[in-house]
Amino acid sequence: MQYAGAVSRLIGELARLPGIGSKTAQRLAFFLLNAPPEVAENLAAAIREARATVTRCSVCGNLTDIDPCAICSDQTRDRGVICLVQDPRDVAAVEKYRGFKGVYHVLHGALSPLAGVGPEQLNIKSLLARLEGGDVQEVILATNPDVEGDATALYLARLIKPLGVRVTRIAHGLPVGAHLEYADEITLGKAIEGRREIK
Amino acid sequence: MILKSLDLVNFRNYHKLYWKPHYGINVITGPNAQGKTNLLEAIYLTGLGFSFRNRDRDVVRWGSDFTSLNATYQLQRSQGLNVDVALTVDVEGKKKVLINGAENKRNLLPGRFGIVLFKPDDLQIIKGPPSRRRDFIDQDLGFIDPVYHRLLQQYRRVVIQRNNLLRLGEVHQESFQVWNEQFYRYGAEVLARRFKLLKQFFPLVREMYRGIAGDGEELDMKYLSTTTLTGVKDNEQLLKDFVREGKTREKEELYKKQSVFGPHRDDIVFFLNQRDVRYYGSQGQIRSIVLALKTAQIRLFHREIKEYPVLLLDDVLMELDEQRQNYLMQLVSDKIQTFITTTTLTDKIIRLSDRVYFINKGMMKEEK
Ligand SMILES: Nc1ncnc2c1ncn2[C@@H]1O[C@H](COP(=O)(O)OP(=O)(O)OP(=O)(O)O)[C@@H](O)[C@H]1O
Ligand SMILES: [Mg+2]
Ligand SMILES: [Zn+2]
Repeated sequence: MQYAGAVSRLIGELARLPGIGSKTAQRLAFFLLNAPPEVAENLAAAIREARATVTRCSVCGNLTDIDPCAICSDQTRDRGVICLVQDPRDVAAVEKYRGFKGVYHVLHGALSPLAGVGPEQLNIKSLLARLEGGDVQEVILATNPDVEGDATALYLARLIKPLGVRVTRIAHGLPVGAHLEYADEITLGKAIEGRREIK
Repeated sequence: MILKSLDLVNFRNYHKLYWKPHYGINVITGPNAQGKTNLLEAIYLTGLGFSFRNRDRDVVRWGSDFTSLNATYQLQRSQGLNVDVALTVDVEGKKKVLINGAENKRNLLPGRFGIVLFKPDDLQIIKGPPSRRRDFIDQDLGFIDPVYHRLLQQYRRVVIQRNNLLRLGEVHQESFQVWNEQFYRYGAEVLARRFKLLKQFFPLVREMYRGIAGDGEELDMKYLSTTTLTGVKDNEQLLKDFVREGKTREKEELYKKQSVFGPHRDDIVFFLNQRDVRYYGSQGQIRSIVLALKTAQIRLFHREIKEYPVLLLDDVLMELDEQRQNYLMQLVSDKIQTFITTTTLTDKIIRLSDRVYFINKGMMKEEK
């Protein structure tokens, strides 16, 4: 199908978003073009603002508009326990379960040779720096319960254990193949409470 | 298990269909290319969540944006519990499955109670490449053991990841060690479960073949492993053996840049009176072995899950000789809901059917 240059560029950009195929991209593009101009302008402004103000927290790597992030600067949180997750979305999922009072570390991914992700591509160096301080007693590995998440957890456990820090893995009570962000609060609470030491 | 109703919208050449099949033997007839196999495909898809043909998106009726299928299955046990499946696929291949209204519950698909499909190209299970035989074990039998099914998916994923590392040649990273360990762990677990499954299955196949072909021929099956591991052992031992195997094959793997051993490479060989069927089997013998595999599959599901599967016979019944037809239909008797497609409606088929449905250009007419 041929569209005017600007239209096909819009469709092309939308189709680059995860989960959006070319059909959906067309539908979104025509929605934006047919709706009142404010709709498109507000969206563009929101994207631009978020992109300009949101950065990674220099401590935990979570997305934030202040640095360090709200959780890292909250004095009531226990810095002795770090819950390690793959994505910022996972932080939100664990936060919904109010039982966790520690802090986080966000890896921004998991080991996946298929996707070209090795240890160097993950936010691991700053984790090691945090552990060197000696204040951290436990790292809870809450990477996803799939093979990539497991491999990442295993890799990190090997790395962290020699530093004398307790390493645990959340219990795989989560539904099979379910990712952390889909887990409801009850199962997530159980997963954290039922975490196990890993060898 | 019984399919109580099937509701199709824009599925293949069906614009709309609402169908309540008989709980017994349903014969689906009509000329070529009218939608008979499509109907079996719809049953298979709602049962197992994937098709036995091509890509998911191909099932969307040409010119439509998406298709939706609704099926209600009823279990024979659990006081006739109903399982409702609502499945949609769009032209981009995006698929959504709801089981009793809930998402992300694919492990509750009715297919785990058995959907047994017998189609003409199943002769390839015997004559085709090893992948056909692995698919039979993994997909057709694997559903009996949900844990096996899940482990297998994880194992396959690990193999893909590990092969990518081997391909890059950057195998000195510490992370390679981690992928190796996953490979050993899942590989050994898959093998252990597979051995257990086959240990139950092989004797049944042998027994069914004897029933089909008589006493003159002895059918044998052998698991052909790419490892030196055989037989059922305790899992610890199997894992140790798998790791040892891994160490000895490492050089070869680095050279070939892929995982050269493990359950994803294994095979099964069939023998009749000690001769390899691939080279010496006649067309009829091969057909009988496939029939034995399928009937043994029904028996295994019934024995392990206490439920008779739904049986789909696509153009195969008429290909069997009189005696084999009788053997199969006797097994079906009045216990197994069966769907038979055929282009030619013989007196015999009419006699054995409970209902005959005539298909023409994606429309259905009931004949009896
Ligand atoms: N996505 C689709 N949309 C519309 N029609 C389709 C689609 N996919 C296949 N068809 C049509 O469905 C028909 C094939 O149906 P099916 O395979 O069920 O035939 P059949 O009745 O089993 O025939 P045979 O006796 O030859 O096996 C063909 O005419 C084909 O063009
Ligand atoms: Mg057909
Ligand atoms: Zn932070």
